[in-house]
Amino acid sequence: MPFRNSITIVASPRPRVGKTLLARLLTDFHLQEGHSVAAFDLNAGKGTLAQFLPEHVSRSAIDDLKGQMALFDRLILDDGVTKIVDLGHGSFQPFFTLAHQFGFAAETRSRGNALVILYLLTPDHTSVEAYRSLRSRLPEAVMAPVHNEIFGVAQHRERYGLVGSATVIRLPLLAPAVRKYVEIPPFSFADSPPSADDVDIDIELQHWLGRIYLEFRELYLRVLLTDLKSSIGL
Amino acid sequence: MVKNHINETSFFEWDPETYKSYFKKIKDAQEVTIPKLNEMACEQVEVAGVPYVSLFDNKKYSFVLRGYVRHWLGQVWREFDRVRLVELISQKSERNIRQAAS
Repeated sequence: MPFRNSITIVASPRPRVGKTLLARLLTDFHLQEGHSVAAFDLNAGKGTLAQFLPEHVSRSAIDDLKGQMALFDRLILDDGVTKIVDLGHGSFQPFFTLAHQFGFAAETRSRGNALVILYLLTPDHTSVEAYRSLRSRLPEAVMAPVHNEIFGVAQHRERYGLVGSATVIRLPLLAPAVRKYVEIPPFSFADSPPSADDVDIDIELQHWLGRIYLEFRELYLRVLLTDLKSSIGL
Repeated sequence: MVKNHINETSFFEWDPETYKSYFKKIKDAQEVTIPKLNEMACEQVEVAGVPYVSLFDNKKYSFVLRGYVRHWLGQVWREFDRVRLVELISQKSERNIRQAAS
């Protein structure tokens, strides 16, 4: 059964690896594609997804049953809305433990939706082990490893067992001159250019967005193809 | 022997003598532990008036509450498997049948 909607979790057990930037880009990407989007922010502190895109983001917490129901019941709902979760590093373990216990990935799939985990690759042991654990605990989810080029050229493929043609999404490095505009909330990549006076900055930003949006389009195409293959038994 | 923690009951763990008098008396007794089920999930099952399995299969109920029931039921079934409950019951039934026949 080809999937109707997607639930994308942006995750890493490490702080400050680019999760919120990726979640912002993904939310704006879906909005630009004309999709209805609901994003969920499981972060505390400054520079959170909810601060950047307040109109589209709900703050969430899963410490108690009320918070868990507000998040998971909404995520699983068949409402034709694309869901994005910015999973703060502090919520990584509890979120995936609950997801595993509740059978979240299997239920998502049984409803004809796709569960995608965008996982930011870092070389530390904790991240590598958490990635392996996710793969085995949520086999129905599509794991999409992401390399944030701000941390250098190494993708750490071998550590993660990403051999051969395994695809890694590249989050390209953004020029510091542009970054200073996009890092002040609220800011939407889908809205007006950051600096109307500086054409170069706008061109640089559009070029950068074009690259990452292409990566997203390819990702969802891969998800769709994987789904089609499994539905016809290939 | 079943220790049912569904409503957070404790079993004299703070008093070893009393505990022993209840739980060490019966020779070869198997102990089965039923863990606590989230209160709201438990209430949902009671209000719905359906078996646990029916609840977690029915998508009209909260996914989270169904998830708690699903996880809890998995733990209970693992306990049953651990003590080989089905084998114990079938051995006992066979013995009873033989006794009745003789």
